[in-house]
Amino acid sequence: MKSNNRFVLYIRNIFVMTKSSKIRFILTFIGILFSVFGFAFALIISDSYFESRRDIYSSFASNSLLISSNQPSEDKINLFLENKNYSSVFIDVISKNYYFIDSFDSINGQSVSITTTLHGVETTEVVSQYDGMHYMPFLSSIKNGRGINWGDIQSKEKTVMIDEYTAELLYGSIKDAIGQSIVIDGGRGLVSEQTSSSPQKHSFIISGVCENSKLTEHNRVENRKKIKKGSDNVIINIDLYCPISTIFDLYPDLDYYRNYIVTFGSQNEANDFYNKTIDTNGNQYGISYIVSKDSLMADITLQMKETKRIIVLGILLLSFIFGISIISVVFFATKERIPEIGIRKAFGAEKLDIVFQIFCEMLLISGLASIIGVFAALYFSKLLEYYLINELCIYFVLNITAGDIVTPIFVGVLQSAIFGMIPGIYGASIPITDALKFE
Amino acid sequence: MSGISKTYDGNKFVLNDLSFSLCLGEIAIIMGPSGSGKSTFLNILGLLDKASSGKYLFNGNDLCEKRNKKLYSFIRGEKIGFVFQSYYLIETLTVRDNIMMPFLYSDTKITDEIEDHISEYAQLFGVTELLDKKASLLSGGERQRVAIIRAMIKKPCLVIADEPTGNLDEKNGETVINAFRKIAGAGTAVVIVTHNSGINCPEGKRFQLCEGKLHEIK
Repeated sequence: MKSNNRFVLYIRNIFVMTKSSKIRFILTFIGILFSVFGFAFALIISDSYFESRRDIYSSFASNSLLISSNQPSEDKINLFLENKNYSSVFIDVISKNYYFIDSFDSINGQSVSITTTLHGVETTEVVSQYDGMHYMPFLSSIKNGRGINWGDIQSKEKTVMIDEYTAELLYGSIKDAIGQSIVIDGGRGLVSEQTSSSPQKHSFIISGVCENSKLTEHNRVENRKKIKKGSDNVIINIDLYCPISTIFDLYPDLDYYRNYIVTFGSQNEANDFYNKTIDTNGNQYGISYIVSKDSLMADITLQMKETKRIIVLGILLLSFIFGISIISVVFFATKERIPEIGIRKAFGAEKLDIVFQIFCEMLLISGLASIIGVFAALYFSKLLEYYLINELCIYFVLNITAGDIVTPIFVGVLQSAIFGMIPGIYGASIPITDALKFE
Repeated sequence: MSGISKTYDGNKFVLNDLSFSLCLGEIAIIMGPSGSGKSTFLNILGLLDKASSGKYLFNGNDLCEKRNKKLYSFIRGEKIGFVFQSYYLIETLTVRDNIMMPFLYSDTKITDEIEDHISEYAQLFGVTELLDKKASLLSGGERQRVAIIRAMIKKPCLVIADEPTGNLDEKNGETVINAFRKIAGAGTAVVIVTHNSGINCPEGKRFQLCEGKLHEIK
């Protein structure tokens, strides 16, 4: 093969010399591979986790606030809203207890219990669901039937609205659900005979079905998994939305602790109310906690920054430790190559040429290891996504950014370039005559 | 070079006030017993090592005065070709890449003419079949011949050869000396260090290195 091009000759030299030092190649490759894999994996998973949360939060109704109160009655909310100048306020009071609805045998014979969280609502534009940390308000539209209206509230109607998934779960389709009765603490169908010791049973008529929220898909997967696993006590929780006046009428002592979703006429009003509940020290008073879309977004952004800072610090520390190992390995390999360095210098190579050659060799090893490390991280992230969604039923959307790929590669390459060049500089500094005689 | 002295410990002088001059196209054959400082002399001549004192003029450049590492590297790469006693081939590279190595660190373009020279020299020294073999697979004699081609391939001003026929049979030894005579005829200065007093090179100046000084043998 003719090599009438210096660049080709140089590249061939780099390739051959990279391969020739097997110990350096293997150990450096493994070191960089693991550090890049760890970094990329940590970045991808943390980014995905936070982006998943942001994804949910981003679909919040921006003019709604979640308020948790330790006061036993709705008076607290009214107290919050005293002297208000808000155009319109809708309240969703959410029970913290689950109420039993029904139990039935699923396909494989296990008993599935259905419980409900009761929502006393003033509007059905916003529905709220629990994401494992908070109740979350979502904007919603009616898919069939009608929502809760002021007439229902004024007449304390025993009517409920459910979402598409609940309708399909209980009645097969959203069409069939309309007009059906649902009995809280009693089951589906008619209210059965009550005894003094049995809990209060109340029958509600389903008047409307609203669209699923972002969390519903996740709940659907989670519930299907519970049934599929065949465990003995499968409990599926659903959300029922009924007029707020009906809730207060039927359940005056509903729960001591309650959550409230307060929906304002505009985001400004929501922000105004939110700010009034925070004192000058940033503490929330009069209520257990209050969150808004903005505060949740700010929280998650802060958490994301903190997590990234920890990851970066961890990686810097690991890079330093790996770097010391790389120095040892490359130092060992460079010592073996000192006569070769002498030969190259005898034929015109300068110190910088030698350092550059070792840099290129390290670049080749680390570049290859980094790319494989990133691909491995992508693959394992995919596996983890599958596991989290299908096995642990956790809402998780894999979110891979260019930074998740480029940053670990850059760090891996930089790591080997910096730490690999130190022995290279040592080797290149040895006088030619000493290098040629080096044993 | 004139007044060249070299000491490693500050007391004992390996080279002591040595003077030597060679014009382009001349051949110098240096002989001397072991430990007489032949290698030290070659190292200084080839800019692999520095003299402790003295003046070294190479193509008009006073190298001892300037002590410019960049210039030293440039001259080593462009103007000098080495044939080391231990050949010093890079084992993992092919014979061709070993021969081409001087071009890696120079601005000289690798032309088709150079490729033709490689083939020509390879044929002359009987290593055509070995060009794509790894240097580690060669015998001592083959390595020596490859090292000679590497030294001559850039047509340098000066070729320095340390025992270039040491591992060669009579026929190959003669081929090597003839090749040196040929490049000297083309204007290259050649310095050969050898123990072999029977080298057939009538036009070569012969020197004896003794007590750190060079004495021309008439």
